[in-house]
This record gives sequence, structure tokens and C-alpha cells, in this order.
Amino acid sequence: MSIYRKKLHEVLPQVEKPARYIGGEWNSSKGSQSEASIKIALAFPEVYEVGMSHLGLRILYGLLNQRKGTTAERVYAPWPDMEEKMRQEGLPLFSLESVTPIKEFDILGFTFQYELTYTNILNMLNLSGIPIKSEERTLEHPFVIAGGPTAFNPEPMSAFIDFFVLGDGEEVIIEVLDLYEQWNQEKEKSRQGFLMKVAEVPGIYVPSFYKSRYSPEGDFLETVPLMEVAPPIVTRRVVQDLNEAYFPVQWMVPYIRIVHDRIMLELFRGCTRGCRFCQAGVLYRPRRERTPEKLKDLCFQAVDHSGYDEVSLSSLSSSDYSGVEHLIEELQQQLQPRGVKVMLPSLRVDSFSVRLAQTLQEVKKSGLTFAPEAGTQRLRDIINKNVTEEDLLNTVTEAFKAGWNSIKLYFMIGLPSEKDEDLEGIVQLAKKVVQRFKETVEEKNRAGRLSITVSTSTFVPKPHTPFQWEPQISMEEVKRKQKFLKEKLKGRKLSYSWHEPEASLIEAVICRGDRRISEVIFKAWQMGCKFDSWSEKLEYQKWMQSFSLCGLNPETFACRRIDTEEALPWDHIHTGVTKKFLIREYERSMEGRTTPDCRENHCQGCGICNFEGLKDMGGSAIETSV
Amino acid sequence: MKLQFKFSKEGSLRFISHLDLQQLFIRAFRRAKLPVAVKGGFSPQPKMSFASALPLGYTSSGEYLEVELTEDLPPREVKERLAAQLPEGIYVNQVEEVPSEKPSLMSRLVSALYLITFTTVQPFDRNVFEDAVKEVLQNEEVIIVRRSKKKVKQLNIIPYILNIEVLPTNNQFRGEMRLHLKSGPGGSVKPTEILNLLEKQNSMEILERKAHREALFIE
Repeated sequence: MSIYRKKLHEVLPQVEKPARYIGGEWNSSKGSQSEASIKIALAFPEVYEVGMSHLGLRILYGLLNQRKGTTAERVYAPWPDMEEKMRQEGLPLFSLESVTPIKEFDILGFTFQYELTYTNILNMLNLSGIPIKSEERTLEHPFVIAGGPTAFNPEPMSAFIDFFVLGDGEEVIIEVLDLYEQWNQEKEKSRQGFLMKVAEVPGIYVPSFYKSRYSPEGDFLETVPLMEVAPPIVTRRVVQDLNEAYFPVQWMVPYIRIVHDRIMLELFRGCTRGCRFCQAGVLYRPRRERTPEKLKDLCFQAVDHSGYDEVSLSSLSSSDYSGVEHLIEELQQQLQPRGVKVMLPSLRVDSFSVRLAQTLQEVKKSGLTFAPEAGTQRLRDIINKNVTEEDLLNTVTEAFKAGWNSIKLYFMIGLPSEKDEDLEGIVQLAKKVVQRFKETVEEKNRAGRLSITVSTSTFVPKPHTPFQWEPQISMEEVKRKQKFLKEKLKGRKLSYSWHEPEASLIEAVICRGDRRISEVIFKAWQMGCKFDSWSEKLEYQKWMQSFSLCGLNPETFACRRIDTEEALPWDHIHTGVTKKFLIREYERSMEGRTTPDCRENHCQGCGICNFEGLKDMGGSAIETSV
Repeated sequence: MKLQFKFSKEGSLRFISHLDLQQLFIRAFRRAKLPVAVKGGFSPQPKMSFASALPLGYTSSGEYLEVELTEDLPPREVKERLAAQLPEGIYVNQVEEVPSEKPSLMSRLVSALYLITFTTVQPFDRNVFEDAVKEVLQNEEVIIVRRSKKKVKQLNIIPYILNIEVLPTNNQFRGEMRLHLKSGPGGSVKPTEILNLLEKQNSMEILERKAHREALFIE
């Protein structure tokens, strides 16, 4: 037994949920078999139960372990009780598969899902004994790389990450490993040498090869390449045909309960509904569907290999899958007799979706969630959420008829141009839903009590969306709006839940930040910030202290309206959707004009499709319009 | 058909809880395509039960599990198919058919045998420790306190102790004892609870403790 495994086994009896750290899950890899292979550690900077629930990392893990001469192992953020013991015992951060110190890997890849995990990344580097800042690393350290949605504004983390991989990772990660093998055989290798090689790969961004300039007043001006190999604009990678793409049918099964404790069957990537606040709606374009035949095959294989009794059809808006009804029918035909349930994680606001939910949950009726996002038609038009009040009321009527009595309504507050009338609209909408229940379900047929939950999150202007120029409302304003709703959404049938405004502010600052935010994150981590997305762990005062130590005002980043003429810190990162389209969408929103889904209508010119290799694979609707 | 499985739980898998172990078996049976009978219509539960929950952190070489299958299959085949779907650390040692009218394993459980190994900060004197054990056993009542999230419970451990044997070791910082404890529907005491009591009474300082269940005795 290695010294690290021995230490680990001494520590485990003293920590909460020790199974988070034992590895060995069904269908997990056994870890490094030979010295010669490239070792890559895949890291999710959150606790095990969250990290193991992520599909993207499972895809890369399976894909990399298939590659000859490659070993991929996993690592998650140790919970603070474990961290304390590790530091006490001198146990460095290790991989779950072989208890190998992370420092001994060739490449350490982080997935960037959420800005509030960034301090965990710094903490994990520190626990590994890897210098936190890129510039301090030497040949004895792994290359620290990152990808995922929040990497589309890489600048706030640019001081810590050697290079970013933008877009679908399936193809580009293999190209990176090919280059690594070449470089590794060189006689006189340098870190710089490898970075020079990868900088030329499309979709790769090496931040140390660029420099940002600011005006004397501290305004961001531009980010420019310092080397010839570094492209002025880095464009996102897209896997065109998901049918050909790897899917982890050897589905890994954890020993302990995780957040999404089921098979996640990815029906398609991308969504073209065009909600103007939604970053995922831009980052994953175009829509690329897997065929029903492919999905059935993947699904049945994953069920056989895992022994799971739940399959979730997960995509950005799963009920948008062409022929979703038919697919569900065919999946259920096979799975129901075996006691395996099929689930839809999110529902569109229409009666079609309620019918789908009905076929899926014949016996047990848990709650349904719908997201009208805004309280009035005016505001829904501005955000391009093409749902009417009538749609919602018809939908809940269907749901009540079908026997549901617990409904959650999801809204955003602080959306551009929001007024108190729009908040009042949320209240009225919720009350109309209650009224609908009374009208629809006769008293004698009411099984259980009606429960309508209104849940709000705070609008965060996200890079690469039509609303990226919009301000976030101030914290005082968030609190006032929440108080407004709290007071009005009272009653036995209504309840209200909300997000902490502090977390939303920090999220907004980081997501619209430039390179200067790196130092803020660094200082916040030094002061002890970690697990910031856990509201009981978020230390807001330390973050504020960190901003002031860096001489930066968080509100300048989060709460300022940016002119569309101004340079943006992420202008050198191209998602494939043009800035021109984003500006047009922004302008249309201000005029209250909606933009239809390109699947239902003609092309809206977002720029993602080149109509040759890369195009929307959204099923039959598109074939008639392209 | 009703089958009784004897299995062991070893290595890292001592860190998974009893509930996790249940899930592990349910999924392994499903992967092996062994048709487990279910009960209850609303949310069907597999007909599967254990003789006794093994505490988190314990290894064992003598656990029992009882499962009802909807199809008659040779126990040997069941054993092979299941074993192929179990992770390292869970080993099925025996599978036999039991009459379906037989009362549940849990109700037939009588006692359990444990081996506890521990290391100490000060040199360990086996004779002194043995005397301390004898002294405890002379009492008619020895109360331990159990604290859970909500309540504090007192328990007299004496009626549960059938025998405690202090074993010789070849290391002066290591102690070992074998405990035979009553177990079953009437409740039980954990051997580590007894060790904690002895630790406190003798002002010892124990560093590491390992608990292993050697056997479960069933009527």
C-alpha cells in the first residue's frame, strides 16, 4: 500500500461521508497501469456529490481512458473537514482512482461551471502543492487547463490557468494530448514550448500570450496577442455530429447518493429559443440532436451497464427534442417492465409538456416546475421568453386536471427595465394559478393541499448574451424587491423562495470581470474564502475586503451599463454567434420586439451556421427552412 | 424462490453505509439481470433484507442477505452472475435456497462475533486491560450514553455482552479483543462503544481502531 493510501485510510474514519474519497465506483477506471502513459486529472471544483453529477466530465473521463497510453483520473474538492485532516496529516490532494498526488499528473483539467467555484480551484491547487499562479509553475508541475461555460470569459482566472479549451471538448482534448506526446519526446523541453504548440490549435487560449491594456482611468481597452502563434480571436470548438460523439455508456455508479443519482441521457446540445439572458443558449449553438435510434441504443446500454433504475432525458429544453413523445414511448416500452423510470428534468410551459410528464409519472405525482421568468407580457417580450399568461394558465389547468397539486414557478428579478408592476405581475400570476386550481378541481377531488412556490433568482448579465451590456441591480434594490414579493406572496397555498443577493453580486462581478479580478479571487482565497456557492459558507465581507485591497469597486463591474461601443474583456473569445447579432437582439429587446426560434421560422442570422459542415441539426423543421 | 447469501465487506468499502450497501446490491442484481421480487404498488421496493446493519467503518466476513427472486434459478448460477457484478471489496461466499415461509433473517439473529484491534499512545499492558474488562463484566449494570441529533439515550450494556476475550499481540502498542455480543430484534451494543468505555475508564489513549465482524449467529 502506498504511503498516501495508508495516510488516507488513517484519515477516513475521522471525516464526514468518507465514501466521497474512496473511488472504486462501478465502471470507474482502475487508474494508471503503466508509467509510460499520459496522466490527466479531471477536476470538478465542488464536493463529490455535485461533481459526480456532471455529464461533461463523465464524457471526457470515459473518452480519455479509451485513448491508448492515457489515464484519466478524477478529483473533487475535499469538504472542509477532510481538508483540515489532509493538511494536518500532510496528505496532498490525490486522485480517487489510484491515490496518486495530483502534482504528479501531466495535465490537470478543471471544469468551469460556475464562477463561485473559483476559490475552490485555487484551494485545490494549493492542496496539491502546485503553485497557484501559472507564472510560478515549472516542468515538475502539471499543465493546469480549464474548459466549460464560464471559461468563455477566461480573464478573471487568467493568472491561474495555463490554457483554456473553449467549446465541446471531445475532439480538441485529443489534439492536445497528441501534441503533448510530441512535446514530451523533445530533448530540451520547456513549458513555453508546449504552450506555443497548443496556442495554434483552434479553440485554445493561452492567456500568458496576451496582454490587456487599460486607460489611465482604469477602463478596460483591449486584449492583444504578444506572440505570432497566438490568434487575435479564439473561436469555440463545435462537435457537429453528436451521433458520432462519444457517450459514456459504461455509466459510472457512485456508492453514495449524489445530486443527480441517475443516468443522464443527452438528447441534444444547443437551444435556439433565444431567451436573451441565457448564456447556455448562445454557448451551445447550433442545436445538434442525436437520432432516436442512437439514443435508444445508448440508453439501453447505460441501463445494462449501470443497474440504475432512473434515466433523465437531459438537455437544455428536453421537450424540444423532435419526436420526443415517440422517443419516450419507445424507451418506456423497454424500460417500464424492467422497473426503470424515464424522467424529464425541465418542462416547457405548454400542455404538450404536461402530457409528457403525465406519461412519465403514472403513479407518483411529485411537483412540476415551470419557468415563466418574468411577471408581465411586456417584460417577457423584452427577454424573449415566448410564453403568454394564457399559456401558463392553460398549462397549470392541464396539470391540475391530471392530479398535480404542487407547482413551482421560477422567475428572475432585476431583469432589464423591470418595474414594480412586473413584480406585481409575478404576484398576480401566482394568485391566478391558485384561482385556476379552485376552478378546475372540485373540492371533493382535491387530494392533498395545493402548494404554489414562487422562486426567484437575481438576473446576472452574462458575457456573450444580448444582455451582456446591461447592469445588475444594486444589492439594496434586490433586497427591496425580495421584500416586496415576500410581503405579497403570503398565504396557506403560496410560498416564496429566493437567492441570496450577495452571491449574485459576486457572480456578476467575476463573470464580467477582466484580468484584474484574478488578484481579487487570489486575495479572497487567501483570506479563507471557499465553497462560495454554499450560502452558509459565503463570506461576503472578505470578498469586499479583497476588492478594496485591489483598489477595485465591485459595482463598476456588476452594476454598470456598458455602451455597445465599448471594448469587452471577452471580445477576443468568439462563440460563433456574432456580436452584431447580439447587438441587434439587444436593440430589439429594448423595443419590446420578440425574435422567433429559427426552427419554427426562418434563420435569424446569429452567425453560428455556415450551412455546410456546421448547421442546426434540430430535426425536420430546419430542413425546410435552410 | 428465497435465497440466502453470505458475504464479506472489506477494504475501502467499509466506508460505505448500510443504506449505500443496499443500493449497491439492488444495482448489482439489476446488472446481473437477476429478477428480484418487489413489494408495494405505490413505490415498489425489492424484497431484499439483511440480517443486521454493519456500522460504517467496520469490515466483515460474515454478513447475511436474503433475497426473493421471481424465477427459480440454481443458487450456483445466481452466485456466479451476482459475483461478476460486485465491486472489489464485496464477496459472496455462499448462496443457498431457504424455505420461503422461514421467518426473516433479522428475527432469527442471535449474536455476533467481533474482532477489535487498536493502537495506543502508551505501551499497552494486556494484563491490566484484561483486569479492567473483568471488572466491567462483574457489574450488573454499566450505563453508556448514546447521543443522537435529537435525543440522549442511556443503555445498560451488560445484558448484551456474552463474552470478551483479550488477545495477545506481538506489538506493545497494539491491543486486540474478541467480543461475542447479543444482537437481534432486542437491540445491540457496538463493540466500539465498549472499547470507548474501556478507554475512558483506564485513561488510555487510543490512536487507531479497527472493527471487524467475524460472524453473525442465526437460529
